[in-house]
Amino acid sequence: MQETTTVQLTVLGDFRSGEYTDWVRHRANILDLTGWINTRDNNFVEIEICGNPILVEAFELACSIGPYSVTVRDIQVRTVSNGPYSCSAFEVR
Amino acid sequence: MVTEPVGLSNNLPIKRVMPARVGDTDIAVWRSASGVVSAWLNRCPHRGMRLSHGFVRGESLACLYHGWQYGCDNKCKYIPAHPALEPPTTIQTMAYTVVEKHGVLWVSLDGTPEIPALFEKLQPVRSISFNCSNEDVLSALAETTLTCDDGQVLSASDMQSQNILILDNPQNKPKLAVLFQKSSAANVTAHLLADNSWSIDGLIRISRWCELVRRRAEIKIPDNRRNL
Repeated sequence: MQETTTVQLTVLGDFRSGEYTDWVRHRANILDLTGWINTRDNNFVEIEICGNPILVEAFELACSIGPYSVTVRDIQVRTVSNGPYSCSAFEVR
Repeated sequence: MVTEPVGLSNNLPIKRVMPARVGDTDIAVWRSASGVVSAWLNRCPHRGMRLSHGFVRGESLACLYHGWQYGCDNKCKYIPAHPALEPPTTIQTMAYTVVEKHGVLWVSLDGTPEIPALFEKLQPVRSISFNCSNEDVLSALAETTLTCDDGQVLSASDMQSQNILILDNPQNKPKLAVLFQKSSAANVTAHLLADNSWSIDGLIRISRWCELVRRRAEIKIPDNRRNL
């Protein structure tokens, strides 16, 4: 069975352009990762992501950069589990 | 449906990649070691680098930036930073339909390319780029005559479609077709195809003629008419 990991990302920055959510979802789909994103407000985003650890790491790196219209000031990463995951796709919550 | 001639087959040897443009879309056209031609959006899914700057490795195209390799099925095959990883099939380039016919590479962004039948009896001669507008090229073409081996002077007939100009003789048989590939408002590429009546000298004359057209089109200063 393929190795998987699940991590939670807390991303702080300026997301007023509204492009971050779609950009993150697109990136997750490209990397074949599942999970969800919750944009609490214009300065705070929560993401949970699951999949191959190498691709999750690439996803974290991408999220720390974001699209041109977004400024990411800080990103905190917390490993949730290293087992199977219940989400079958990437959702926007 | 946007169908564009993006180049001549003999200008894309095996294990080569070249940039092209269809409408407003930048594409990378490449030929694998076994001869398979692919046309993709000119953007690596990883970091957006132009794939036309990359290298063909056997049956894959490798991005110049981080070396991610994509196969002829446009899916990622290999990521050098993680050699043990089998890349998910979701990592793929945006592929378009490319058809190689009558010595020309035709690309369509939305379906099977529609290729005019008149090219069946024409052979590719050469491509040439113009750093000017389409109108400037057409204007220069109209004032630059070309003589066949038999002494007939060819003249440009009406445009067959938006991007095809036919030069024919009084019997109305196509002697030369010019396929225009508009790259931008200030850049046009033309692909020339001739029928089999031309001698080697005649083909050289066509080549010189289109260079004269380019000089006239780009400098936009009318000079004396000159017959070749």
